[in-house]
Amino acid sequence: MSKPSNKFPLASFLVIVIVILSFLSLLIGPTKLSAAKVFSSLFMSGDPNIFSIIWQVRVPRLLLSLVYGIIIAIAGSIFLGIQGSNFFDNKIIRFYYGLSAAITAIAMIMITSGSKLNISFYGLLGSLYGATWNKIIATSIFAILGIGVSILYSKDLNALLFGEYTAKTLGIEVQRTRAILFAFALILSVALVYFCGMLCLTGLIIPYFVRLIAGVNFKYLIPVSMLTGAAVILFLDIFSRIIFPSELPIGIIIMIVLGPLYIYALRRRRLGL
Amino acid sequence: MEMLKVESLDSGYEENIIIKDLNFEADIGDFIGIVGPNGCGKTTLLRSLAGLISIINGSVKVRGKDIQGISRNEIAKRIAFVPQLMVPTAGFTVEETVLLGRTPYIGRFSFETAKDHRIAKRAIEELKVENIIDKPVTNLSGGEFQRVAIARALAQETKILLLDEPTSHLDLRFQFKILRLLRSLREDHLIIATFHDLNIAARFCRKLLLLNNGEMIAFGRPDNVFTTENLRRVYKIKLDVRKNPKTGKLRVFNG
Repeated sequence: MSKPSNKFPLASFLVIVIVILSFLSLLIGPTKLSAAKVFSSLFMSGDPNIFSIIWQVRVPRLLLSLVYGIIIAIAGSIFLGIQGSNFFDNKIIRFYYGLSAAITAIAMIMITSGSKLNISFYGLLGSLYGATWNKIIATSIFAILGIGVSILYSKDLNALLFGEYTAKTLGIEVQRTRAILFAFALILSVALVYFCGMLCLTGLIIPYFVRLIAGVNFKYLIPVSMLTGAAVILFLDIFSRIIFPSELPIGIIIMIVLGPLYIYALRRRRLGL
Repeated sequence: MEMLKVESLDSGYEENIIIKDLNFEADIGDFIGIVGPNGCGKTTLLRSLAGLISIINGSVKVRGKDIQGISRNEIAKRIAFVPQLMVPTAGFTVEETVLLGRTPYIGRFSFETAKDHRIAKRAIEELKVENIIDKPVTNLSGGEFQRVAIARALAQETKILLLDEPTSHLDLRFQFKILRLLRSLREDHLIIATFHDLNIAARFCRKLLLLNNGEMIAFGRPDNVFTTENLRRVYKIKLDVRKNPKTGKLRVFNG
């Protein structure tokens, strides 16, 4: 409650970034379209071909990036809240990042050697290519659930930060709350793997870094992480489409950019920072 | 009905019984110091009273109600606990930390109300930390943070306040400040705290509870608890107890 002014500039900055990136995202694609054409078909139907490119391909893709960023940020924040930075040093998570790095390396070798990635490999890696309205509706349901739960439980997550004993003496049923939140974050993660591919969970690391800037008060951390997640994923998607017009799966880009951050987070933890 | 009644309490961690057959009663206006050598079970006793660890036998009753029979939320409205090392958490201001004390009163589907803010504000004023209200808790000195931790407990609006070593890690000036403050809170609270320093406990507490190996050796006014005989039994060395003729306060010497 006190000093929302601190978080407000950061949040508004992120919103502006998202708006700019959104317009940019709509402009990029295999069919070269001028900004004027894109915007005119966005708001009124002109050329039916352009209209369908915008509304059946580009807008869904943009929305899927945003929803994906939001869900990954909520799941990451919840994991961070119930397990602290221990979460990232967990055996399963280390294995997951290791495996993702290996898959990324294989995919990169295949791409540079000129072989075409087949479509099932795409699905495994995680791609926002082929976003449909159905997919957006389905993922949005998870995003809305995620936002709801994170609002309802931000108080519990905050109490948990102060240690198990303090949380208990504040009236929190610690084990039960942890179990509920863990199950929920797991559901969000599984949904993301299902809809966006296996590599997409590498984005769980985003809230870890947002925390360093926005602090760990979950009332702020979750919304700021959601905005950051949306902005980061959108940016990476645009980046990948500009650099590799032949559709490099977003999972690979995320892994290349966020993987080193994961290693940094692990090292930082080991060094006790 | 007495505020707190502990009856034949056995408690500990899983099957490891630490506190054995402990009985005492306490009421509003009491400031009780739990003292005894290292490892005698001071912290375990305090945690048992807070409902943090399992009660193996016996009961802890608050106004006749056994805390084992009520939810954690109900306990939180009756008993507040200040742990020995509450870690300041990055990203929380003093006000936000104190407001955390309102957690038991805020339902799942609601937010802090103006009333919660008012109560937190009052606790902040009582602990005289209003000048640092917007400071991040990670930037506070040990003494300041301890006051914030106590304010958080006060915001919980419980009649019973439990504090684990509230004066450890503090320099002498802050120790006395905190103790005077606790003494002033005694009027409408029951305060129970553990102490390492016998002289500090004797000087500020109205009653002492002397523990040894999880058993209560003595309970009552400091003069009745700190007898040469009791202290020898517990600390295994000869300690002299003298009363300051002017203030009536006890001092324990290694003589």
